[in-house]
Amino acid sequence: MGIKTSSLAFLAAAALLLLTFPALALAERKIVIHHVPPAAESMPGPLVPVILKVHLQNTQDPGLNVHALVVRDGRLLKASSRKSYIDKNGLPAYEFVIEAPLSRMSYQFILETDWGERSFSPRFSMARACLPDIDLVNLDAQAPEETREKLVYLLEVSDGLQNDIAHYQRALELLNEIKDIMKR
Amino acid sequence: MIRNTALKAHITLLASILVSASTSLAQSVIQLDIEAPFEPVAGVGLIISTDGTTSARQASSIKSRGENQYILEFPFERRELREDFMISGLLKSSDGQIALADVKPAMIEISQSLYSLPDCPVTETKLPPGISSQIALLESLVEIRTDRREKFFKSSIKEVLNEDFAQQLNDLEKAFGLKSHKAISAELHPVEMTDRLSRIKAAIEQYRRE
Repeated sequence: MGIKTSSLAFLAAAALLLLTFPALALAERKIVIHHVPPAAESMPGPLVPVILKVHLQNTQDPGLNVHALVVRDGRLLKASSRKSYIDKNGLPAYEFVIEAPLSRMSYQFILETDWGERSFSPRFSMARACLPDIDLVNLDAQAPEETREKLVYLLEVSDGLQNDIAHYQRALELLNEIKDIMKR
Repeated sequence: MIRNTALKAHITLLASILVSASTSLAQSVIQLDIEAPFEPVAGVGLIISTDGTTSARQASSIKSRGENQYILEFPFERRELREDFMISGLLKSSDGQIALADVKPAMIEISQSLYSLPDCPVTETKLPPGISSQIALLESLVEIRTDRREKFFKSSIKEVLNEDFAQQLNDLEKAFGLKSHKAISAELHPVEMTDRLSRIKAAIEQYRRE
């Protein structure tokens, strides 16, 4: 009976403490970073933006400092999330836009809170099986005379030009984005 | 029976010692891409441990990979490399010039040159049915796309990336330690430009955040 009474008293005290300071209940639970890497076969062309999404578990805060440490084609890059929000499952989600590598890329997400908590995701990596051709289309070449060869040539040139345009478009977007950031 | 068991245990132990010795002594090669505006005559690989100790290795080979691009190779033993270590390297010219490689994490999967991958095979272009009557349309598509590439994007980049802005970007690259031998200009290949601009953008955002 004596034991029961003391257990009850202990439980009541603990409940009171948790009701008074709900943060204590959460403080014990470390924030977990959850990320599903994109499928290798879905990797876009070199330097085409890829959206990497991260979910945090054990928190409801979409305003925490989550960043990504990326090694793209052998060079280090620290990226901030582009946007964060509460997703349809009620979990805070953070989105990163990272340009796809020419060859390979590895990345890891890191969470740093104001109260000194640090969480790390596992390290993820994506790699190509071969080096894609990024040479710009040379317009000086003479088109073949023969119809079939000419058709093949025209199809290849028009596809190549489309790729070149996409590369220039991305470079132009980034130039304008940096210009805007520098104005702020 | 006892003898057999003892013999088996002895062989197993010997085998495991041999396997672990061969694993720990396994030699591999780290490859680093280095940009150098000179003909290198020597190279050194560097392994930087978490306590800041640097171990230098003589390069086992220096391969040229296009204009000003070199692949420096140096040997290491797998047991001496931890994931939290960093690697770098340098090339020297005959007149004492030095070019440094980027410092990067010593992860096995990225310790290979960018160029260690084979080029992707050229896929054969298949002609869709009925295309043979559309040569004129295709020619006009090529013309439109050429105009778009040359007259719209290339000239827009030239307009946005004027001398002042290019200078600002080159200064920022230098300030953030994102050095490169080639200056940012409208003439840069768009893929290289995108790569470098995305690093500058990330660095500015991080700097502002911190």
